[in-house]
Amino acid sequence: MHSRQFEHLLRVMIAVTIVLATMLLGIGDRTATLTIVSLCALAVSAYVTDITGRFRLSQSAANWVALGIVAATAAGASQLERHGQMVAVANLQSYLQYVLLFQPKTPRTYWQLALLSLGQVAIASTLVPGPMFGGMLLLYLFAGTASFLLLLLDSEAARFVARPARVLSSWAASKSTSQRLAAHRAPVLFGRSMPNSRTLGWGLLQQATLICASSLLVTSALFFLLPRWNIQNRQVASGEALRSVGFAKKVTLGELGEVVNNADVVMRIQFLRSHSGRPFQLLNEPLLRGTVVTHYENGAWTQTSATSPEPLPDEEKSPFVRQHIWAEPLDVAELFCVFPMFALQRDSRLRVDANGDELVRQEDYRSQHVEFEIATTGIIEEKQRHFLPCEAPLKGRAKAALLQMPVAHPGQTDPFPGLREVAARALREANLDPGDHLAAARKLNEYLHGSGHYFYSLEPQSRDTALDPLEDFVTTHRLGHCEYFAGALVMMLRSQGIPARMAIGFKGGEWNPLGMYYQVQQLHAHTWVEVYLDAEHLPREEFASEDTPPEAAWMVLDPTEGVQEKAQAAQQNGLLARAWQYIDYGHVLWTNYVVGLNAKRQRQGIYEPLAQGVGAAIENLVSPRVWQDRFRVVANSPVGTFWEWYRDHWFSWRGGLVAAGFSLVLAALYLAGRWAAGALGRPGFRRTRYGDGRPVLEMYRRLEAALNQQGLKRQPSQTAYEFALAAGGDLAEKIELRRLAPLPRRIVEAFYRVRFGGRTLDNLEADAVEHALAELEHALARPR
Amino acid sequence: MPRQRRIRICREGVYYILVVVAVLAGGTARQLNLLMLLGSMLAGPLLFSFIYGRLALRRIEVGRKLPSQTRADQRLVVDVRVTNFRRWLTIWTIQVEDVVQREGTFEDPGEKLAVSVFYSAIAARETKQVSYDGRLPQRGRYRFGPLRVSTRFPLGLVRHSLLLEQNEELIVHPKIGRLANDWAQVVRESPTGSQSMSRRGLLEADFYGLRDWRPGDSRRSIHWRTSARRGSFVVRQFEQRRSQDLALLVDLWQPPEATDEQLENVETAISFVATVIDEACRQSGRYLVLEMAAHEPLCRAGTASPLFFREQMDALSFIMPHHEPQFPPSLGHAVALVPPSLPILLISTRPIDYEALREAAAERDVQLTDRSLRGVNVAGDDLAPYFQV
Repeated sequence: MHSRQFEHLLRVMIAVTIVLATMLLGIGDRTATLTIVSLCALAVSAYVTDITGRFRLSQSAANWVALGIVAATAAGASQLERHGQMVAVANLQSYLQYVLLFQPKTPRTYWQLALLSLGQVAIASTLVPGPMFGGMLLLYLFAGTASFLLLLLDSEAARFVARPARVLSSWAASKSTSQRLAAHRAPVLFGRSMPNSRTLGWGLLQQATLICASSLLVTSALFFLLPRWNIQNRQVASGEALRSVGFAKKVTLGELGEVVNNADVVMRIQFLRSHSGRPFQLLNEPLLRGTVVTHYENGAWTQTSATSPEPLPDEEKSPFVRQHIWAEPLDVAELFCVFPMFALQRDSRLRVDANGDELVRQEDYRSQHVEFEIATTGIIEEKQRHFLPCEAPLKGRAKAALLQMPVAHPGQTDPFPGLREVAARALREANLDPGDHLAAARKLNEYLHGSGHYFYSLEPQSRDTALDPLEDFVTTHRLGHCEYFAGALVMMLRSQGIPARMAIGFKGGEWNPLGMYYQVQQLHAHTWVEVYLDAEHLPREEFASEDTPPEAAWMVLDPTEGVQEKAQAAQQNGLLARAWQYIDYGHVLWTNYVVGLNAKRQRQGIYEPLAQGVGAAIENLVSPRVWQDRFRVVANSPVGTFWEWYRDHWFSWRGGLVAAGFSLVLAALYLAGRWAAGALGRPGFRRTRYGDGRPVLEMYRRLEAALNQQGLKRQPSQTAYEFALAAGGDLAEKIELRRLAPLPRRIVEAFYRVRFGGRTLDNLEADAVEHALAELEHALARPR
Repeated sequence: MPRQRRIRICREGVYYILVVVAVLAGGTARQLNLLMLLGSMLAGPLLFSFIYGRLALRRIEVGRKLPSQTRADQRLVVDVRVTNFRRWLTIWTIQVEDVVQREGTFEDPGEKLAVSVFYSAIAARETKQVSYDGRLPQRGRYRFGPLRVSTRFPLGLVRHSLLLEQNEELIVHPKIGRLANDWAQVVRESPTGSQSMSRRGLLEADFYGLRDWRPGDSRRSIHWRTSARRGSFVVRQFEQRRSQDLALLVDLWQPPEATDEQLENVETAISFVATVIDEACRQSGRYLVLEMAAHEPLCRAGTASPLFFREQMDALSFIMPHHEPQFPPSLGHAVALVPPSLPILLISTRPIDYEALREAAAERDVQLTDRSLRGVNVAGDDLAPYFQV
């Protein structure tokens, strides 16, 4: 009965395993057909084959059907390309599973089902790259483990229901003995099985969890240790759409709709200190520039002229901050980062335009996940600078481009009369001279940002089509998104003779405290303004720390700043946001350390830190100098200071790793010692008991004491058995004690069985020994 | 207790290892991280299987409890106990295999059987007992052990086993049959009277009561406490038991090339003797003489008691027939040792050669005509009225 109980559970778990395998395959092949068909086959076979038994394929019929399926699949797959062939093989495994499902179930059937599903997962692993594969694989591991556990229990329990004894050596009776008599005389023994308790299910669940947890440790160790030498960066499949950032080198006002509220991840960026390599969060929100546009015409921003890309500058400047960037495949070549930047090492995938304003990846890498590290001098003291040094002062056409305004066509009036007037009035009311570019730019930015006349909105707005969109925004409909704010500011600045351009990129992003990086999504797309300041307008205090102050610089202004900050702050506080951070960090780990684990990353991310950590930890443990310093610090510091330090430094993963390793070594040494002691035959000190638990030696002591009453004492040369025989002989010589003669021998035999035979006496034997001892003690104690 | 560990990869384990190796090799060769991940994930449970079994069999104690005595063809139940001394860990799917072998002769070694019991789970600090049962149709000495404890947990890929040299012996006594009602008359119809009033020791009689001391009474029979209370000697009075004493002379013969029937006759004869002794020992005090002409002659005499019974059964468990063609003279000589009052029952596995018996008895100056002698030829039909197996 218990066997059936396991079998039901087993069927369920095997079914789960099959479904999970087809789901994994379905994710890779982007179809749920196989999963649905498998579910149907499982349901139908469970009813018609397992429950009612109405239809069962015989072994020979199943073989023929399977052969037919294999032949048909082979014929079809021969004309497919590699990917199609793999899918065909995976499908074939499903078809074979269906055949098995309609057969009577034996442990062998379940094994075959499990192996076929495993084959499907193996194929799926070549098709599915996403982190979902990892999650599903975990589920599959659990279901598979539980299935195997149940399979073992089911088959073992079924085997032991009145299992006859196994013949180790056949009966070899004398020649005259017939087979009949031999069989008649052969022992007949049956092994039994312990009835199962109802708590087995819960226990099995615990075991499956334990096995999975332990297996994951092994999995991690083995996976990270397996050698890598040529891991290819995964290409986005040909049919897979690239993610769009919604804008590139042309920004048309009012066309931002496709990136609004789009949570597709564009990139992840981590800022690392140049020396320690420790990641940190910026004090302000990072502005990650992709490109800049300068020319405005008919409501659209474009670049004035394209320049040919060049390798990244690699001249090191300090102080700098490292930017570690993971870029998703995108429909544009531009990459986003904090400017100005330079390369830490040559990277053939990356290029920069001649002005250093734009970072791009080579066309071949657009459809790939790209991970790279560059440096920037645009961050000082964990804060992104508002003034960016300009490589060389702009002159001539380059500077003129920053003052470009739409020209009035013949017969038309100035497109920005209102905008000019607003800008001029704002400066006039502040008593500012437009010649003071720095102050004027700040004032106009403040006018848009903080005057309360302009409002941020991502909703499409009705505009006066007779007016330029920016003119309409500044003068009439004062509601718009970042492009209106930035565009309006650029035009207002230019109207006052201040060169400026619009920067396009992303602002902020989701800070992930687990991974210490920013996750940038489509919805973080942003535009802002960069104002060109030549030497006479530069605020010198901003470059005081630099040895050679630049001759020109860009001042970053964000007229829409503040509006998004509130929204993001609200977004980051929710539980959902926290969960999303975990998921995203898992995604990062999966992408970098599972799918994208290559030789370099393996060396840099695993081996070297591990070796360094272990080395440093051992040094910390064994170095007398370190311990002296440590004791000195502790001795010289007040208790409160020590605890303050301890609270922040109580755990170190390196220390933990070394401690765990050290403990393992100690445990191994202990086990080896025990094994050696066992191998050398060191006897254990185990108290042997007999009967109702009395120590066995007491049995013999009582016998000796009783015999001593008769002056019978064991000689040093005698064993207990010899002594018992001699004592029995002495007793037999006396008529009145003759009946006691066999007792010492019997008692000693029982004593030997327990003391040296390692067995315990059953109740009957224990009582007999006790009775014999009592009789001896009683009879020999009497004076004679 | 010596322990030997062994690890054996099961057939399923071989397949599993092949799959893991194939996936890992494929993943590494093609440099596919996810395939390597899958291979690593499959390797985890395999490694766990290797480690778990070793751990599971460490802190356990296995014991076997044999019955103190058993008879051939009697139902035998052997309890096998497994104690898990662990504090936390439940151990799963434990199989204990015991080896049972009858101690045979060089020509006739006994069959070796392995019988297993199964424990699906033994919780921490728990003792579970499962029995195996059956019948041992042949008398003799059976060796039990060694015990092999094994587990295939968790996935049935690897079998860890531990061999425990926990050997024990069990003496299987001859089969006890049933004596027919006619048997009672066999002894009573003895011409010289088989019922004797023999003198026995004081302790071999039943207490009857107290009476006043009379001259000639033994001082040992004085009941001192009552005498002290009364002020005059009082002795204990015993009732003398009326015993059915008997002498069994057995010619346990078997030709060197015995047929099945002759083999069975020997066993029947031994079983008959065992049954008679069993019957006699049901009441203590009976005096029995047993003389067996066998491969190793057996000569026993004594008063019926559980101890006497046990010793004779042990002896009968191992006795082997002789192959001498002539009637053994030792049986005739033994007649001289039997008190004349005792009826003699001569049991043989072949037709009784009374002439040879008479001659052998005459060598010891004993006339068979003076004795109450009844012969039973097991090979013939003589036994049927008295005995059924």
